[in-house]
Amino acid sequence: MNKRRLVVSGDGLLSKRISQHLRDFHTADSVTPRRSFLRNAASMAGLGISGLCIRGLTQAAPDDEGRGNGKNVLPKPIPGGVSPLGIFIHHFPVVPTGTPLQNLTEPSQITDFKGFVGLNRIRGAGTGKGFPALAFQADLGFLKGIFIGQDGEQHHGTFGFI
Amino acid sequence: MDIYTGPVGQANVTQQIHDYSPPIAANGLFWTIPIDPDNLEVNLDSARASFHIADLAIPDFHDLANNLTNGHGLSNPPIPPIAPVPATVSFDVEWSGEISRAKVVNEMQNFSGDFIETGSTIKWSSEQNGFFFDSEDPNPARNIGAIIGREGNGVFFGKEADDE
Repeated sequence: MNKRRLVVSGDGLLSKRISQHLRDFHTADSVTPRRSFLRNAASMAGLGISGLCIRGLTQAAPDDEGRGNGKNVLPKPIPGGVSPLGIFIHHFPVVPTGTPLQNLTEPSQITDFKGFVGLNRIRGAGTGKGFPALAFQADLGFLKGIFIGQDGEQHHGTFGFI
Repeated sequence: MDIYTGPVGQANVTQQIHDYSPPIAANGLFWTIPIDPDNLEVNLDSARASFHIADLAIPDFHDLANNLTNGHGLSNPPIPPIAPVPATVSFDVEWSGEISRAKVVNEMQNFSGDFIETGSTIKWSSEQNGFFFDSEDPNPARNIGAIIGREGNGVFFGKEADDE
């Protein structure tokens, strides 16, 4: 495996981002998603690890070939999604193998995006400390291309869905 | 990336003991983070892609409910609150083996593109204070679903074939 170390951590711009998110994605006809997001965001605020970190996002900067400077730019989420456990998320799980491609749901997590995309789901087995037999599910994906960021500018980036 | 002591899936969330993902962004961007372009290889002509990361520092939210509520648990089903803890994950995931290929236009969800249904495999591990996990070797029979392609959505709907 490549030995590249990435860091995911929190940042402190939650209130501003919540307001922006609600303006952008949650209008009066989407009460349930708004309520769910507020519950989620409020929880994040309480633990102080909200959102994607600025430090993490700046890792996209060397890949940026768009008009924007690529620093501290948050991609925008797709407007649609599903509600596992009754909580709305901006994501569609991959369609099961054998589903006609014409019934494909959006595999991207980023909207205003053009480029390569991948998504999967794998269920398997493994072992862990204190557990001779465990089961896992992995939903992974990628996005590589151009996108209109939260700043309204066009950027180029490579992202992992993990 | 989820670990269960029993059957997997959100219906069995009470049997989940680890849930590794980036935090959900404040604007709702879901479990998506920038990566080094060198971690990714895509070749649609051969219907293959690979995504490799080693030692990614990432939170363990314990279970899906605590992931989506950031540690506040749920009342229904009853999931006690559990705060996220630091962990690292490493994985090699592959998409390969073309099953079908088609151009898709989904006006309802505002995306279009050329997509390939493939097989996929993974080998992964995790490590944190007091716990480690190693998956079985890559096994094509474990694939539930896999898609790769090139698309445009939102303002780029219908423009996926344009030069970037």
